[in-house]
Amino acid sequence: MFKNIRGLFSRDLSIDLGTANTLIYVRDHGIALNEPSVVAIRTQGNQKSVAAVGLDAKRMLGRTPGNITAIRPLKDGVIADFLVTEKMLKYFIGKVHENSVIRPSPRVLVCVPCKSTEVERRAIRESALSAGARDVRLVEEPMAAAIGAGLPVQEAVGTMVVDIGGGTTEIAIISLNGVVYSDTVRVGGDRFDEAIVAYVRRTQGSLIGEATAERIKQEIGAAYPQKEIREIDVRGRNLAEGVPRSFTLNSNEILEALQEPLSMIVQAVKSALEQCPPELASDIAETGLVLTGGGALLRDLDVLLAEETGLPVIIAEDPLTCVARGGGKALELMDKAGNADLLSTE
Amino acid sequence: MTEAAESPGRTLQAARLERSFAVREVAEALNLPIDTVEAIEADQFDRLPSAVFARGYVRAYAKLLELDADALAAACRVDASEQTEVVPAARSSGLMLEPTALLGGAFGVLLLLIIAVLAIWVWPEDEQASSPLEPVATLPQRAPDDAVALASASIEPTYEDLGELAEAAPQAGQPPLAFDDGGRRITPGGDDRLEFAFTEECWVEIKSAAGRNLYSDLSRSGDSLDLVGRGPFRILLGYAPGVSMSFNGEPVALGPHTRNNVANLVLGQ
Repeated sequence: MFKNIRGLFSRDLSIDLGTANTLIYVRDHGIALNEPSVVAIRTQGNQKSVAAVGLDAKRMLGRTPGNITAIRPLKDGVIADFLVTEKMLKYFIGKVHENSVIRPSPRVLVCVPCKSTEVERRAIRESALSAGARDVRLVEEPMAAAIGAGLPVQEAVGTMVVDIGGGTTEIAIISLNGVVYSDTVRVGGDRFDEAIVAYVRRTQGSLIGEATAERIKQEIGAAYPQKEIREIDVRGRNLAEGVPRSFTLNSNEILEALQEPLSMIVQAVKSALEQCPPELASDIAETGLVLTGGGALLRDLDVLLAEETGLPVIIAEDPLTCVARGGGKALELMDKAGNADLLSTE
Repeated sequence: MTEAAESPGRTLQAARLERSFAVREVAEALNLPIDTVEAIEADQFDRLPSAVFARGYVRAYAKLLELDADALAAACRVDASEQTEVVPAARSSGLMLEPTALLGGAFGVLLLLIIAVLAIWVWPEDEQASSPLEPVATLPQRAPDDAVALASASIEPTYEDLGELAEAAPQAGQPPLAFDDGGRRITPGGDDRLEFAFTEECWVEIKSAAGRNLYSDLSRSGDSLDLVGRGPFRILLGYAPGVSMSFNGEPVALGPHTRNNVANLVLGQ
């Protein structure tokens, strides 16, 4: 009963609980929070407490003293550390209700990967409930991504969505408010970063951190050979000499570094097309596939996929927030239809 | 004029011809049927599967020709947003509360009642001090935000506006967004006339049926306002007792639409 009363002072939320970033969409208000899914934990004797969450905690990644550990509580789109995820959600839910005096108790919709198990989904549900939510609904990520991209999911027309997140890439074919085919590959932005770290280590004999790798990816990373070659200066620790050294990388080298994770995504897309029912395949051949998620921002990924599949490929508008926005719209659609199970999954 | 000020299709076609690409080459590069490329160049976006795909194709085409993809995609935004905004508009008209929400609402009312009773009991003199004019007093604070929104809305060239402009320019010989016969235009077409006369300071906000902000400003006592455009208009008047208004020459009674001195009405349906 108290949750119901507190619910009056809360807003409906849609949470895209991602491996790299958590986004919260507040109904009728838009995206209210976009922060890294990182929590810094301080250990004092046997006592553990939260030192920082989100952006502040991300700055600490790889730079923490002995008594603080900055961790990412989600791995591959699912909860790796239940308690820390709960703390993080509690902090984020509180943050979007900053002006509220009463402890918020919102209705929450959380987006989950297609291939997450029963146990993993239950963990997400429980975690959101413990963080103060009064009602939790789960929606599969590609469905939310498709709604967020504005695709006609309710029609009897096949649409294909490729959502490239931080930890996973979700591929789904959607028709009539349901997922016809879905696949998850554990390749995403993080794997791109790791591939860059490994490449630099192999070719330059230097070690760089993940944050540097991410910066390289954002500035000169590309999925397809570029007309103009870009360069970037980076500093890393030389493994032979043991001292920091500066060196230059160019976009062709990064393209080479990204070959392995990119080919895994291309393979997964191709296998989705192979297993697609023929009627839907013809719809997709006509309209093409839609890229969402932060990975869609990698330069010319659409060109690569268009060439490999022979289909038109479009990038959704504002791909980073598609899932969270789609979740918000899904909440509205459920209310409108008066059916809480319309798009949700168990 | 920027690239997007011309129609996106024509801009793309011109850029393609400049680079001497054939339609077939573009179609092959984008894996699109030739018909689709031709439809984009002719600005016939209704021949494409949906607004999302239309914008996606325009963006991919612009990228291929190394043009500003976002500006061109944004130029075909208006017709698309009007298609998609039908859903929220319908939602706001029909209030569908779940049983739990209704239950919650009852609890809320009960809670507020208890608080009110307590407040009267503890501070009886404070009750008289609260002024009924409070909501009106807060309204002017919103002016800067809305002014910014209005400014950005008017700078952004929209495809619909441009289509209207292209049609209207040869006949009228003047830009449709200017003042004409004393009335200020708030939409490119239509001749519905809204006239306001103010005896008190009042906030005025006018939106299109799709929720787009057409006009918002604070009017002072003694001001009058004459607006022309195509209805329906969603009108909000911050202090209704200080305004008299007419629509297409006929006076509008604000009483039935007024609550707490704030009038909310829709005209021209």
